[in-house]
Amino acid sequence: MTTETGTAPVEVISASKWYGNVVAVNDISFELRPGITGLLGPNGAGKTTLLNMMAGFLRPSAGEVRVMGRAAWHNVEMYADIGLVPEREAVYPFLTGHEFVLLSAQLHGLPEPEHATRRALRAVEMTDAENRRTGGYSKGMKQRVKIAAAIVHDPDILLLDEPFNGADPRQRLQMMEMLQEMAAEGRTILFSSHILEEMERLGENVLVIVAGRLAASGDYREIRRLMTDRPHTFRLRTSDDRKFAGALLADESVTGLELGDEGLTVRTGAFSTFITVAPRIAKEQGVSILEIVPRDESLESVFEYLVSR
Amino acid sequence: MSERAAGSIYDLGYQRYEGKRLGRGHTFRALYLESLRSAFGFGRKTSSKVFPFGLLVVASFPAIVQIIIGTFSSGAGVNLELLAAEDYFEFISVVLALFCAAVAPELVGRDLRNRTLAIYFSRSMGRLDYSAAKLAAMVTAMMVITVGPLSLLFIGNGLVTNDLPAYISDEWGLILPILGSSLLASILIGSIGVAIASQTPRRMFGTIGILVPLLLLFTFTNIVYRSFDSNVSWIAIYLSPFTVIDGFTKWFFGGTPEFVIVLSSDEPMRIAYVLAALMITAVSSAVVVWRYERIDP
Amino acid sequence: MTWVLFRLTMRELMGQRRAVLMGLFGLLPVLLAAIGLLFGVEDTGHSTQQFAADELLGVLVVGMLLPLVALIFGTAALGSEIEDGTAVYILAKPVARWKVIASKVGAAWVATSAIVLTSTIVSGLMILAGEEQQGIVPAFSVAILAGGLAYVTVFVLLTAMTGRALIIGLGYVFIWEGVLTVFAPGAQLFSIREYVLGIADWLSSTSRGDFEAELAATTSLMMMAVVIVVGFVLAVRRLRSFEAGEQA
Repeated sequence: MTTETGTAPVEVISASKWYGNVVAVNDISFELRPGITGLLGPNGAGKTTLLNMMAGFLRPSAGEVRVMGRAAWHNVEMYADIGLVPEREAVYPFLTGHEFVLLSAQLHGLPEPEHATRRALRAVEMTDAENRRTGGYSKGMKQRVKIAAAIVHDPDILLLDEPFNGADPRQRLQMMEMLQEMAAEGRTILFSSHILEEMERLGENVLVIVAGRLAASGDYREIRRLMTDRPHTFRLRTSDDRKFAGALLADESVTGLELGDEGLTVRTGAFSTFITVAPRIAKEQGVSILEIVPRDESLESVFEYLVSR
Repeated sequence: MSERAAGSIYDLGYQRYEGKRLGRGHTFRALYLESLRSAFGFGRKTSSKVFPFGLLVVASFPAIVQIIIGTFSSGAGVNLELLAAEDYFEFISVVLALFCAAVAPELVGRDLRNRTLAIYFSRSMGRLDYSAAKLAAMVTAMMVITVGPLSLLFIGNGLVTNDLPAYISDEWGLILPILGSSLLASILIGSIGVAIASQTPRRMFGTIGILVPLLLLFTFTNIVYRSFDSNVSWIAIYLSPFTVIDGFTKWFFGGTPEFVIVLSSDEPMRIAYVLAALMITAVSSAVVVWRYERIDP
Repeated sequence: MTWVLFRLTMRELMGQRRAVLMGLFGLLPVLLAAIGLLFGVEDTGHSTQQFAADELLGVLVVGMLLPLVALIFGTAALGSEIEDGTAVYILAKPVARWKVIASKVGAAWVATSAIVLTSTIVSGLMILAGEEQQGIVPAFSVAILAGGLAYVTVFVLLTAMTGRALIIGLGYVFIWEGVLTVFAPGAQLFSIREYVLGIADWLSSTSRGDFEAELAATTSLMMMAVVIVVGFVLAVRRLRSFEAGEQA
């Protein structure tokens, strides 16, 4: 699914966006091709800004963002080929689910809006509740109806901003399956998230954005390995730091210890073992853990780590 | 997590609080004080202090000007009174309306917007206490802008005569009317403000919702008074809170109300202003209580 | 498509509480007329026509009711969607921006007119019943229709430009139109209220003493048209460059 010139459906070329002194997106370049791509990043990394630029709702301060070969900014016609699922929960509360999706169909000028509406609602499994007002929907239902409205016109490109926010594992699975079906039909799909596990099925197409920059791209498994199997640092405060430290050192999951004024700093080689080991040892030693804080959980520290390797 | 952890619960030393709890009155007072503080913008960014304090300053202008003029005129031996206490509220009525419209939504809007009501209602306090605390805080806030300028006027006039104790002993009869009219005006406007503002989580809608009716009614009563005989205008006079305020204020101070009703004997009609104020206050308060009883937090 | 948007906005604007509230406001002039009918205006030394044109319609309706109702509907038409974040759903569509603005302005105008025009006609006819009409009611009706469109256009434009549209609109109505035009007569040239009164004066046949507007007819008509057209064009341009910010 490419334009006449053979370019990718979505091209981001050295795009930046700043607001005064704050740089939200910093010189990012990539291409989106048919299939599903995941945009991963911590909160505030610039995911929504990037999505808004692709959707023509933000003007790039520098660089270009192109959709179907043309600039996304000031491009009202492109909406016929794009479906957008924004993050904010709000929908028109006085409309029923059906009316909401129908509205979308009508605004797209579809020749058979009712038919398309029904089809879209069926695809997201919202036909039972379609005649209830969206004001009374649960979060997951609102999400599904938003997706239905975004696909009602059969767009080639689908942009979803944190679609899995608040979805339970089953809903997430269903949505992923639906997205994969659509991707198999040749569509270009991008969804953003701050949770690594949501990128699970995506294989190669993960973009990691941190502090406005493209920090990594590539295979989900590789990124995951880098994130979880790396050494972790924790800070603890307990009722008896010294005694606890002594007992911890005996365990092989601990690679380093530091006793300080604000507490105990523990370096571990394997994340998953330590968090079961620590409470057990505490109980054995009769020590109460007052506070345990991972020191480097953030994607920023992953990034630092990735960069320093 | 390891399978070992599947069946057991670690005793990590979690403790319940079994100590003394301070009870309902204390909770009420805490909410009241916190509301009062937030109404004047304390504990929030500086810009939220601009409106309340700015309007307070504007409301005090006439008093300040009076003091300045008085200082000069008493030096020249002339006693010049710019604005009598009993006319003060009439003069600053727009400021009072703006103050109420700025403060009331601030007071109740945040809890509605952020859906923190559930937290309040699950405390030993309950919905009625919440309504009462908010109303009390609003009335107190209005008291600041009513008693404040009037007290400033009173003290200022006294200082100007260079003999404050004498002034006080002469004019002490003003003190009770000042307090009384301020209190009644505050509960009237304050309760109306909270009743309207509590209907919507959006601050702007609350502000508009307070200003528009007050202004419309004010204009309405002015027209009625201008265009009709006074034995007709009694209808409209009770429609605008400001004419009601003017009514009882003048009565307390022993003067005659601007929007006067001519009847056979004045006395019974004057108390009508007070009754009207109390009635409107009762209705507004009921609206507030009803609103918070019914709301789904 | 414009029709779809128009209907959507109408539904949004006439939501239960708001419609009832506006209706209540619209009753005030009717109440005033009722009082006038019951107790007779002549007693106070004014003619009924003067009362109708100058006080009832001039001060209460045109001076207060019209701008305030227009403000409430005008800022809600586009503004509430932008604030809620639901504007995306109508903007991420291949619909020309002028159609969006047209539907918003149109819906706000219809809503405003429904309230204010009805109030004008009912109260006006009531108070002038059995009297010499002097074309007051039709004159004011036309003027109010035009004025409503102008107000609503300006307010929709404001919501496309800033998040503080409501307070700026309030400031315009009360400080600019209410206070400034009294002290600085030049400002009357930029006051929609004066355009409305100018058109009403021109179309009605009231005597000078009863009701007189500050602005001449041609000025009023011209400025009214300018405000509507320029306001509309600017609003469309602003909407085209609408940036989502951290909200949408």
